[in-house]
Amino acid sequence: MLKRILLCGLIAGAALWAGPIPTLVLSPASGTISGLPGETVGWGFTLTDTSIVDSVSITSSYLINETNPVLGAYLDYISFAGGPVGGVTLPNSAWTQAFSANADPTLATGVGGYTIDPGATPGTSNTATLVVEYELDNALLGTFDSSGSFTIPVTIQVATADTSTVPEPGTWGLLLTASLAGLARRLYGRVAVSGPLHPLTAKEHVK
Amino acid sequence: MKQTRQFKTATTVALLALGMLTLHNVASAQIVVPACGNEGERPCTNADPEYHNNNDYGFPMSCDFGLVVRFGIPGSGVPTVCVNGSATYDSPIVGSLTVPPRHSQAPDTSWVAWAMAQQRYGVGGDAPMNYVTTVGTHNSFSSYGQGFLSVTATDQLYSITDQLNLGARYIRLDGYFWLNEMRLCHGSSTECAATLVAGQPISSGRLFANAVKEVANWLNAHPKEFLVLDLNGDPSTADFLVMEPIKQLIGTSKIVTLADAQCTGLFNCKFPSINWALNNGKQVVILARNYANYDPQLYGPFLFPRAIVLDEKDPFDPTGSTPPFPTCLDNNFQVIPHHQANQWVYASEDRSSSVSALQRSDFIGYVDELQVQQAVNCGYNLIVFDFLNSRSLTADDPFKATDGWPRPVLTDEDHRFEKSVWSFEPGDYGSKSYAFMQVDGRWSTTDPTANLRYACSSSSSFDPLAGWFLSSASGPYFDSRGRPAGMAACAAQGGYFSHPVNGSQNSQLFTAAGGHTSNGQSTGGENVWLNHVLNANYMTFDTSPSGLGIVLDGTTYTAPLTIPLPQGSTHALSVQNQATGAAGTRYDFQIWSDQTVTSTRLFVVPSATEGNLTAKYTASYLVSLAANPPAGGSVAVVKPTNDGYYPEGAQITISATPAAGYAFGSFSGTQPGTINPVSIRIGAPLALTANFSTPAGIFLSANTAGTRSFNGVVENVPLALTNNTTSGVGSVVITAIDGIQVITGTGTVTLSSALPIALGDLAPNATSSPFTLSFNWPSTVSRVRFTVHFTANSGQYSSSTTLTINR
Repeated sequence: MLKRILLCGLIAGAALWAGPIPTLVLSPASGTISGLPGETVGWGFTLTDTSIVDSVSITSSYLINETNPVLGAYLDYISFAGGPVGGVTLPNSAWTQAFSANADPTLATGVGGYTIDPGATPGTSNTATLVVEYELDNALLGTFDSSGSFTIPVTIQVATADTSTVPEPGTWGLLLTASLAGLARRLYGRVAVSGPLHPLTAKEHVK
Repeated sequence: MKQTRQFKTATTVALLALGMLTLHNVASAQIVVPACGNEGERPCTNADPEYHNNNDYGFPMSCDFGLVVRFGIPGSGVPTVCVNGSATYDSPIVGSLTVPPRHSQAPDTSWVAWAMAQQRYGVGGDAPMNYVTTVGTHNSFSSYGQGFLSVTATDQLYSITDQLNLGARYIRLDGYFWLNEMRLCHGSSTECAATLVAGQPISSGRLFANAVKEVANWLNAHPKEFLVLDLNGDPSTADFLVMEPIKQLIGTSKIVTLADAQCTGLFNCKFPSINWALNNGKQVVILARNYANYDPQLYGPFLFPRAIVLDEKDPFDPTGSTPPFPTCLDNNFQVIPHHQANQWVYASEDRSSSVSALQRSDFIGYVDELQVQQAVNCGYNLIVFDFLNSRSLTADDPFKATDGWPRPVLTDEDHRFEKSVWSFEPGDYGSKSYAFMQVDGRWSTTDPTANLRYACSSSSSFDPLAGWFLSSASGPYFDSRGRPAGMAACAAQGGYFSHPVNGSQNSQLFTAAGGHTSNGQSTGGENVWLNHVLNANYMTFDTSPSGLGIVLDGTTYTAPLTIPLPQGSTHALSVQNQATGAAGTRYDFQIWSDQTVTSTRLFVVPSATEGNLTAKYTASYLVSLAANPPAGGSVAVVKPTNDGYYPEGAQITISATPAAGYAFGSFSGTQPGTINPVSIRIGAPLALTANFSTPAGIFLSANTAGTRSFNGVVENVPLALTNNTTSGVGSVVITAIDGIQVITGTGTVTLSSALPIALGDLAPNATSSPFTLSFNWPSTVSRVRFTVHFTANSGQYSSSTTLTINR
């Protein structure tokens, strides 16, 4: 009985503590990708749930504020899985996926794919905001805590034939970035950094 | 003065120079009326000073019109004056007779005067002046009182001024150039010079110009009177000496011109009406004859040398060539009215010359009262008499006295002017204003409600040859719209509601009404409305703006309304306090033009021939405002009125306020623009639409918003919408859920919630209250993807969010 009371108190305390906000770091971290006309390009990611209570479930992703919406079309990948385990990223863990395009989004990996219009003019681009919606659920009670979203500036460029892709950072680079981000979170609190030039912002939807 | 004429003699030129010099000063001369020639005064002689006192002129003195200076005696009261200069006429005053006072029938103080003026300026005032019968004096200048003392040749007893005061409106002046002057005498040197009785010449030798000045003085003293002046000239004389005094003394502006009469040639004129002439400052029309030297270029504008058809004494002379009355044929056997269209038909008494000069033993040529009536009814335009008001047929003729001098008879009266009245019956002053013809052909007045037939003419312009008939319809004077009802009644039979303007027309109408005259008695006619209102003030009632309603004596009219109303009569008058104009326009009564502030009032018709009264309104205009789309916001006048109308000229401010999620775009309508709020001066109805639009960049998204629950069949999924923009949005609605896709597990998930779900407005960056979607969600399914569709700003914005959630 005492054990149960202690558990409930722990859960209640965890629930009352808003807890750290998860971070999402794109790959490439600059958010800028490029590809040839007709090619599908996209972003890999690392989602880090630093909470000890809440799991993170990605519910949706999309682009907004596109400067050149006719350049191509975005397809959400990340919300199909929602997380690495049962549709969630468990507390105090991370979820990383490299970008891999697939016409079937359930088979694709990464945040999402962007298919450049076959008629797009090389050298043109589309700047947008990538929104990734998530919800935080109490991992112990299975209850909803809050929802939020990551909003990350991204750029899609139409490359010429000899510069079809921007080299992605290596795995060690990613790990280094993730580590730096974790360090930053611990040092500065709730705001994580998606890259050295583009601070990542996460917005918690207040009920 | 530009000379355009060659004068015949050096004498004429010299006279011209003298005349110009002195006439220049006439206006400043003091007028001295000698104590002779007028009623109660001794006859004038040619030694009497004329009507100028030239003391103002200084020295050397120069008298105009050939007069010479007679110096006065300083300190004695005897003034220095101008007198006739010819020794031939310097005769002493003859005898001690005085010009007798007028008889009691003097028309200037009697009903006769009223009736003659009514016929001349009222009944006939608007007809061509030659359609109106004018009575006057034959050889007006030949006045005993003014020195024409000849037993055989003198025609009048009283001075010209007295004749005018007695009612004569025709004056005849015969000029003849004799002894270096233009003098008054009857057409020949013989008559000017003849000394026939007791050494008295036929003519007094009075200067022509002085008679003109006498007429001019009378006209100046009677600015509302109109005269016919007849000049019987001397064929041998330059008309310059006749016309220059007239032009200078009467003034050209007072003379009807050939242009006024629209003359095309000397015989074809359309004379204007007397009232037109008076309204244009013209008081005299000059008819002329015998002017061999008539110069149209110099005098044409002022002389009508061919306008008179002369019957002279023939109509009144049983031995003359004209068929006797009541046959209305002239001495050319023309029907009298035939001439009236463009001429004046003249018939005169001429007793003085009916027989040989020294044997005035009969009255041939004498005009009696019955003959006056007959001449009037035949349509003679100019009927003139000798010895006006001095004696009658039944009295003894003073010229028959053995001493040969006139002795006016006071025991009888001259009723001949009275007999020239063909319209109103004696003693009737038209007190009820609305004229009708009685059964005896004479006129009277009655209330406008009387039920009578209407007098109709086949002419709308008093044509003397027009036919007359009575309307079939009868009724009151006015119709329901305030117009003379006879207009429609006569028009229905091809005629015009009218009234006679002379005795001839009156006789024709009387006959048409069934009347007849026998043994001097007229009867058998019918009471008939005439298109004439006495003492009428043609009031124009109007509204400003025009076209609104006016209620006069209970009848509603549309302004402007011009209606003859008796002067001094009182009427009930009203207008609406508030009138409706064109769409969106309203008029509010403010004040009458006479400063009366109540819309309903009594009105007393002023003593004038025409007037106007206007009800002044101020316009107000409807301001119609709308929002597009209606949910996009509101638009209003900052300081609104209760009814949406604003007075003309008002400056109003209109403000458009966007609803949440909208932005003001523009105003469209009668005054489009993009300024908000906008200030507008009201001058017309205003319809303005405020156009609102959804701002670009609005962004809503759906999120999970609560703990989901499952009852074994239904999964309840709390969701919320978030407004991610800095603008508010309105009317957020969940419209559809589709694309339900099982991501993890097996089975089919369907929506069981009813849609749509209204969420209301969302402030900037706000999240809605949670709403719950219920899904039929099998336990074998753990992760589902679906798309939430929603709209905002009344459908202006729509979007969707695809969510993938776990159980």
